[in-house]
Amino acid sequence: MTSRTEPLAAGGWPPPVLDPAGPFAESVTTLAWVLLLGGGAVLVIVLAMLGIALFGPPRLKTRLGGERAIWALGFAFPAVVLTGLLIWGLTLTSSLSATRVAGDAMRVKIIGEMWWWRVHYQDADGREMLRDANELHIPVGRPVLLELEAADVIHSFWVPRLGGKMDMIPGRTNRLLIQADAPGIYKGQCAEYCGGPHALMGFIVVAHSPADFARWRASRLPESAGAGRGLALFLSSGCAACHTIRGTPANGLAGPDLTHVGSRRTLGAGILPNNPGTMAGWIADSQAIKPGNRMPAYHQFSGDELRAVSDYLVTLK
Amino acid sequence: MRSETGFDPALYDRFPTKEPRPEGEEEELRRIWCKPKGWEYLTVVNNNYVGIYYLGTAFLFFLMAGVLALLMRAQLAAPMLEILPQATYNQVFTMHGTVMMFLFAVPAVEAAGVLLLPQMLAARDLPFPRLSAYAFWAYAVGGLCFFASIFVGLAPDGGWFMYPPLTSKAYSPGINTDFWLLGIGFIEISAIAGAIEIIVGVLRTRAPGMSLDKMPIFAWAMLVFAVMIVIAFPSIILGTLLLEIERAFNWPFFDAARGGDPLLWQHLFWFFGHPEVYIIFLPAAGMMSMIVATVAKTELVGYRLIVLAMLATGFISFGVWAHHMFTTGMPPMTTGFFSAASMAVSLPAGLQVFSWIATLAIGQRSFNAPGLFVVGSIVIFVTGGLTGVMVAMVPFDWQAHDSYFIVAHLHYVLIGGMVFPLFAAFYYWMPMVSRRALSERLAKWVFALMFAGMNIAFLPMHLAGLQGMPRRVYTYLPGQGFELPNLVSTIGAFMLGLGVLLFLIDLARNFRLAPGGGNAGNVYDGATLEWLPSELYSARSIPVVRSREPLRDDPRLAGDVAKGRHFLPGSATGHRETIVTSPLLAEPQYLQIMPGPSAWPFAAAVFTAGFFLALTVQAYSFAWVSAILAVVSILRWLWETDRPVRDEEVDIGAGIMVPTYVTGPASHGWWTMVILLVVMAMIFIMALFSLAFLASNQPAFWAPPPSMAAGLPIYFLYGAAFLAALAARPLLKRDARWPVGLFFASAFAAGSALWLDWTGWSAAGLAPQASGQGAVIAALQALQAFAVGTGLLMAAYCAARVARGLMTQPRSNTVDLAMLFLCYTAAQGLTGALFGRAIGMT
Amino acid sequence: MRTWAILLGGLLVWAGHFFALYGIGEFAGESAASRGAVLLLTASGLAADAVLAWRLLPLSRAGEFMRWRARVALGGLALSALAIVWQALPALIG
Repeated sequence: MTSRTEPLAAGGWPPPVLDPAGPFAESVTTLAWVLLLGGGAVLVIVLAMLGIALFGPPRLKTRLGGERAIWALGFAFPAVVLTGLLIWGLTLTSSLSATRVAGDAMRVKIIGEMWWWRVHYQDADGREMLRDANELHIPVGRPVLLELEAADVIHSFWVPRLGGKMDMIPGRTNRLLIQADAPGIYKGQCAEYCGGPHALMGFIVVAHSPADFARWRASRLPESAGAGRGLALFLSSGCAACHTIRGTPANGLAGPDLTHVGSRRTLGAGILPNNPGTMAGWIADSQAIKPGNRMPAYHQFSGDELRAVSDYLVTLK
Repeated sequence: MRSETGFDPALYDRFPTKEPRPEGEEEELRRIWCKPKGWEYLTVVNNNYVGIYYLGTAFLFFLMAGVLALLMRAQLAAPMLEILPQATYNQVFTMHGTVMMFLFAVPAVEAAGVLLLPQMLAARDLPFPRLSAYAFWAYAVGGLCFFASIFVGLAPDGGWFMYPPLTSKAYSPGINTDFWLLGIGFIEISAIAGAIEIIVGVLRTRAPGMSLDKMPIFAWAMLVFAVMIVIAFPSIILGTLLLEIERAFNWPFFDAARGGDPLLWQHLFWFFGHPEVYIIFLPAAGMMSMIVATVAKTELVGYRLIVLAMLATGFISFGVWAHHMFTTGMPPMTTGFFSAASMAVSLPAGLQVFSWIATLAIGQRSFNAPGLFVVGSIVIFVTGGLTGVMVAMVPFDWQAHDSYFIVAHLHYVLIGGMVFPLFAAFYYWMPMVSRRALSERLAKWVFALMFAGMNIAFLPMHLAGLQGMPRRVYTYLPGQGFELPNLVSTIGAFMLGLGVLLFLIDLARNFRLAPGGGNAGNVYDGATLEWLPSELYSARSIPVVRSREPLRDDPRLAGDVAKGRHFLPGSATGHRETIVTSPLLAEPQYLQIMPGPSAWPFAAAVFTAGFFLALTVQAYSFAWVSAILAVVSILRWLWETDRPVRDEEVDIGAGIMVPTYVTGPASHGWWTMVILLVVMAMIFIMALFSLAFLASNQPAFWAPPPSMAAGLPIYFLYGAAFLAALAARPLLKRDARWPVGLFFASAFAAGSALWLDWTGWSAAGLAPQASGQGAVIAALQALQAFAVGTGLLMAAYCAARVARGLMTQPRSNTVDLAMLFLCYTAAQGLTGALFGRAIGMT
Repeated sequence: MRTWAILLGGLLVWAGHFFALYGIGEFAGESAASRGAVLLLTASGLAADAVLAWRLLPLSRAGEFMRWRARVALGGLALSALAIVWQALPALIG
């Protein structure tokens, strides 16, 4: 399967945690740099003390070898540093907590499932406007309030460049604020081990400029159902038992909503680029690509049928 | 404080004695503490053997879990490899964490305690040798069967902290999870048995004169360690019990849809899980403190600061559990409490590290094998401590949590804080148990490979974490920059493995067990009592301790001890025995007669393991047969204890007379029962917490409890049960049948109260399967039923002893202990009845 | 018992303070009243530490064992006081 997996985004450098793309990640990155550099400095100090203890001149050794030095270096010094850090950490925690933020944030409910994500866009009153899966579209420069829930086991939502992570726990609704300040694609990942193919439970956030976002939003409204042999096969082969395509009889709820699947950047929850080839490959044998996922392999399709179904699905923009 | 017990410290001046020792005294000691032959190696109880078995088994688990780690590193060497299939990988990482934490780390330090403490305290053995043997065999048999589950693909796969609902029946229908729950729950019981033994051993069997301020720092560490086990492990025992009941009987403790809460498990797990890290670290730090001083050929600088640090760590580590839950959506103020405590717990660590540095500073530099590992440990542990401070900062933890940054952090802390000190200890104490020391030349290679390998393996993981790599992934997609750090990590891991392999070769070449004397001796010039010349009975005589480093301060001590010029130079009663001393100043109080080898602890352990394993594979009839045989074996082993003694008072040297039998709060049995009751109380308190937690988090599912007033007969019956048990002790003087009757009365009263309580709840419409509230209430009743049943068994045991004329009068430890247990049972029942009614009362 | 109470006094005060604060956070939630309760508990915890220290000072010069015990206990009180102050910060900030 390696051949079918192409890089989604090159790099890993700079590390996403240290490369923030919005205010909720940015302040944590500042903290991270201070902690990394400060921690490094303290390590150097301790190693220097250890070096003096082993190799230093007798005068310094004597000063290091008493209870006064232990109190000063092992207690007083960390106490001062940690008091400062604690105050900073508490202030930051409070300012970043979504419980304290009200107002005009865009609201999206995201539900973690074994091993993909349901995405429900909501209006200001919390009514559902639009369903999607595995991809979140947001406008830049505006905070987005995520309501995080779980359908089965515990998952954790994490898009490192936009903010910290937050667990999705059955029976609870956790809130998380994210914001992107530049258009782009931001990679996310389930961070809490959720069994089976947890490693391949990815996600992307697509941030648009306000104008683009409005265009994207408008493109979601007409439900383009299409027709033809692909749809017929889709309906007759059991796909519709799990998937919904609005405007057709397919109304299954177990798997991701496919109404706009052709416009998604990725397949299989953030792990494959989306094109007719990967689509066909996924349908034919998703178990080889993401072992353990809940979609059965469709070996029964002939090559021709497979092409018809996948060609149909990629047209659902 | 001149004296604690009325003992006159001036009597210590009679030692060393001058007069010649009688002929044959040493031979008699040798005969009493004889070596095992053939099958007797299974029935030995002496700490010199059990300690080695224990440590060897723990090390075997270290090697096996290490091999699992190498398999994982092979799989992660490059993206999308298929060396281990996903399902296998998930079992392998779960087993790696579980085995390292539960089957290696805790047992290894406990084993070190069993092996070293009696020697260090100059006791003949630990106070309950058969309990040590039971704890070891239960652990060895249970642990090996548990590990074998991976060979048949039935190993648990939910991660070492087993979060439900992933581990509940709906998402883990196989018996893999049951292996974890029953296997680990059971091994915890073995750990608690060992901890009780260590607490009593450290507090009551120290050499005369070894007051708390003269105690070797390792003994302090083991004391804090054991107390922490007693407080922390009940939480995981309850947790595993509840989750197993949820899986087996569908009681929804952790099912949010029925008024349970998955977060309850996280609280129960981490209330154990974080102290666990310090439980592992403290004994290793104690070893470090011992080794640092010897290696630097000086006394330990900051002894009292280290004692303070250990005590403080013991406390504060119970206030940090929820820092594993910063991303669960807890409100900011609550996360703040845990963040503050997580910072506070680093202060004692700072005191310890700088005490070691101070000791190295005033001492002489020497890079022998223990010295290298000590220095390496400091470097690695400090690094892990600093990343620990980082993740104690809540906002940073939101990014780092559950990523490879955490994997790096925890391995730095555990390898620097436990594995390296343990290797230092292997080298340092090897001459005490082996005829030959290990090779200093090879040690340099072992150290270099392990130190370099460790850093090469785990340093890049910090980067992988910051790049967004989550932990517990069986593979990763290319193109995210994970390739290089992972490849480097894999190379480092194999270097570390090579270092350990080299150590094994050294072990095979040089380790020759010498439990009955003839060891390599004090090659590093240690100053504490374990370096006295010793045989299976430890030192020939038990020295009077006048300083913290007796062998350095009194060069003649070793010779005097070997010539029998101190306490207990021979056997006073003809049995195995040791001196029990007072807890603070270690003044001699009485002579404890110890049990010798026996097959019953071994049998009890095998059947206990059989019971739990049979439950796992759902062979219920076999399980119940095993359970009954285990109980019979334990009773049979107890049957030989607490016998009448011929000499009421004996001479333990220089004409100092002590009793051979004491009862009441001064006896070691009383202490043990009290500690056991603390364990039971902690389990019960965690169950009460569970009830309050669900009431507060799932109020919509809460039914009104029965009224307080309706419970009056229950309270009355529990009160009567308490008083009946209490009256048994004074009435034993009249007739040995009195306590038996009263114990039965007490158990029946408690049983009736329990039955009334349960019918009250049933009448209120509560069913265990219906809601979280019903499930926890039923669990409380089940715990109480277990206590009442055990109390009943104790009453029957007393009756049997009376019938065979084995009940000592006018005072009896058996009666004392049954009395304590039944009084506790009544108090627990009363508390539960009141608490259950108070939570959610309208 | 007395020796243990002296040795562990500061740490016991810390433990009482911590678990009371956790109880407030877990069962009473975040409100002005709980913040007030946290501060009140903190003041009493510090007062308890101060009283223990004041009673300990005269004990710190009577014999080897007693002196050792008092020094460990005073260290424990210092740690306890600092940790208690830290523990209260979340109620003041945020």
